[in-house]
Amino acid sequence: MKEVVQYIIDGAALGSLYALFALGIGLIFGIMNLINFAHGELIMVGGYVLVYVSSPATPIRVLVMLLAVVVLALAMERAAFRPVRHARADTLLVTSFAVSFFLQSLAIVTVGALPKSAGILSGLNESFQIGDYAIRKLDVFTVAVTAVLLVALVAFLGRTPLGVQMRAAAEDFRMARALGVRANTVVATAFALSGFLAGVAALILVAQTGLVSPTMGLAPVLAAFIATIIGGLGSLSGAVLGGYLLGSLTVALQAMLPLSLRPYRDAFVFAAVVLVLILRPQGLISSRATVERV
Amino acid sequence: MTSYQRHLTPVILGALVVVVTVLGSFGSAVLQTTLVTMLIDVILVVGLYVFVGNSGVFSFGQIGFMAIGAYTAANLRIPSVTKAALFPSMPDLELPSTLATLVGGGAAAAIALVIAIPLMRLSGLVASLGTFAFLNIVFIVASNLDEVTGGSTGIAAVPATTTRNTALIWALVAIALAWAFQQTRICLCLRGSREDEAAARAVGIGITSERTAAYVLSAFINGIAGGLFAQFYGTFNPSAFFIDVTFLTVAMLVVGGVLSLSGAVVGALFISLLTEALRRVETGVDLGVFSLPELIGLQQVAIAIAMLLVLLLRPRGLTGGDEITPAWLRALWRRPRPGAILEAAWKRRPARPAEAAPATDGAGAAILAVRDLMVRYGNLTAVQGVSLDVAEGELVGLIGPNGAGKSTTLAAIAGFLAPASGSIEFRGVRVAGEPPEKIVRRGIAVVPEGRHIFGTLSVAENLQLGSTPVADRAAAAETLEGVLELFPILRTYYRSSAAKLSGGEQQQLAIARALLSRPRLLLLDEPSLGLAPLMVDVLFDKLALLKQTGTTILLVEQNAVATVEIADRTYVLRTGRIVTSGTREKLLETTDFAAAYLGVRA
Repeated sequence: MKEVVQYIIDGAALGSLYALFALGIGLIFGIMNLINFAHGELIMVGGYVLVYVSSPATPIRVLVMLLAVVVLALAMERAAFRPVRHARADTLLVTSFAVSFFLQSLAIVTVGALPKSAGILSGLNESFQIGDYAIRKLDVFTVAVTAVLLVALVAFLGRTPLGVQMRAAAEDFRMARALGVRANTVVATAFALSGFLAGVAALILVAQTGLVSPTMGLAPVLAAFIATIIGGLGSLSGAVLGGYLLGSLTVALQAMLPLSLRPYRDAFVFAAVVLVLILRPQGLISSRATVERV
Repeated sequence: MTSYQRHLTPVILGALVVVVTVLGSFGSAVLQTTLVTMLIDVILVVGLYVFVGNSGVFSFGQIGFMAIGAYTAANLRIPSVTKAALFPSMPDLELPSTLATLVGGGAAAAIALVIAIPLMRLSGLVASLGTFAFLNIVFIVASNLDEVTGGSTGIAAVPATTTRNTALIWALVAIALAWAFQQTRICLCLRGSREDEAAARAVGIGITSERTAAYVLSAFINGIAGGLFAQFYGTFNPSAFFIDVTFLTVAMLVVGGVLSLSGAVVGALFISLLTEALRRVETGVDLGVFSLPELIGLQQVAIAIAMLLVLLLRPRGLTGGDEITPAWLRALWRRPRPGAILEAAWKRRPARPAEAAPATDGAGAAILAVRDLMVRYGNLTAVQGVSLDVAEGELVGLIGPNGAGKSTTLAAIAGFLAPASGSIEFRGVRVAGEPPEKIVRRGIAVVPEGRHIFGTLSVAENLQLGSTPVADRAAAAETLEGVLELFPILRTYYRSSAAKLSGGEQQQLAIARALLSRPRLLLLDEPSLGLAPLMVDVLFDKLALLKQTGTTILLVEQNAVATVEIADRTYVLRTGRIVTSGTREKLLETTDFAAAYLGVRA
């Protein structure tokens, strides 16, 4: 029983982190059919900002970092994705692949391939006791921050005019434009939000490991990629659901797989992805945006 | 230009690879390693192309097949004694080098055949994601299956038998295989479905088996590359077959041009040479006056930039998606403007008398003047008094919503419909009511909506029909040359039946066919209708080129944005009447127009 509760806590924390990654990818895919592989590099850059902006108080460091990542996300959209906005989905994916690789290589050239350490919120790695359970503060922090962001995002999409425009654009971009929705505004907003989420993800990752490296974006982006496919590309609730499912699946496989198969855990996860693609190519929660635009 | 010349493509590509290899072999010892790596990359990219280029579906999993080929070949090559110590659970089997490479390719192909069963049913992006999941699975298995792969520390003691010459021979074999596959019926069907997957599926073309064939061959070639890789380096670990190589090979293919074998080879060579040049910079350069510091990772930055530039500026790659033929090379050498041949051909059209010249609000003299045109279908008046002018060399757009009367106007000009009243004057002659076969001889050619290609005839025969009104055979040949230069894809499929072409290619054929009558005015009816977005871009690029040759065009389109962008002037038609007209700037000022047709907020 004790173990089960521990697994649920682990699953919730991991799932929240994955949901953050997946939302960043899902927001943009919904609007412009782009799976932004370079989302991982936004996280990476966020990490390096925390490394190099080390003197001021923690809240200022975090704000500077969030701002930098949002600006980078907007710049990325303007420079690389806007010119190819109407291309096919796989061309967009290839473009984001190139952006990702570009930023990663640029990081290697400028700051080197070796990981750097960055201390922020390291106190969160301590645990506290509730009865028999040792709970890591960072896990609580992750779950809480994700919950706050989700509520804020839902409020934004549901209550503000821009949010409604974004939901309309995700469903039928052409029709939304025909009604006067400005394409550039909607896309830029999606990138800014996605950048913000990447910044928060960077904060949690750095707090967790204390390390930053040029390739640190790969694992999050792979997780986001799996979560959005499982949940349903283009559906935001699907992305969140996918994130939590992936978190639970990962923790469950870790706990239940026999020791000899445990190293292959992620292979099973990817096999589950292929299975979902075959059985429900639209994901668990389908959305109109995943129907191939012909 | 005859069609046998297209078969020279693999020879040219092979020669290119050989020349680069021979030149490189005079270099330093380090360069020899680079050379073999480059040849392996050529094989990998050709393998990637066989699937991606022909099917139009991006695969991010082909490097997984390289891994399978590499580990298979490695296990068949490690000497018995070493194997007994390092990999005791593996069968004690030692094969000759070439055989081990082949078995590696075969193993990759066999696995491809199995995973194709689920993957090849998926469409577009979903299939791409599936292949990426496959790459990850292979990587994870390779990192942990210690008994076979040595886990993440990797494998060692594979005899290094891959020489420059073996790699070169295999690169040539890969090019030949890819070219041979491209000539098969299977591949033609596959390419036909490329831009139009939905349409192909809708008419019941089962592309699953064709795709599977391309996928298996692609995996085989990548497996071979893996086998050569294993027997070149001797020591390697799973990270050699993951994201980095996947990105490198995808970048090479994109930079060269995804849609042609030439693109694959040129891209691989280009990026290899670029990387080699930068390797020297990366280790630091001392230029006397100043020295560049050591910049590790610069090669990767340059590759990423090259790829981004190509994606943004030349989306069809360095080769533009065409195969390299002798004509392509000559064009490169002489650097004529595209369309120069056609432009020259137009200049030699016989002059005709009586160029009546009512001035238009454009520039030159109107060659087509339509006045108060009315067309009725029974009681329904589809066109209610339309007047428009087209001057020599102009591209005039005619846009408007469904049922506005655009196509009807065009049909009346082309002679398919007799107008109820009004006049159509072409170069000073009243042509209203004349039959189409007479009108085409007056110099008006039409590309009707729906293309109307003769599917049972070959591309060549379709084109030949287009020159029916041209008596002068030399002139017909010259026009054909010019048209093929503008639409090189038609040369590639010159002897194939036209039905096999994809929608976009058929549209190009329909335009080319109309041009062969050496028209003074080309009427285009909805050329972008039903085409995939990528092909719409190609089409409008071609129209822009055509305009530069001095071809006079009247373009009827639903795609208002693209039309207004390309046209000198555009008429906007609504319920049988012209509501507004003018240049792009003028139309954009009319807020009503902008809101209705361009999606610009008023």
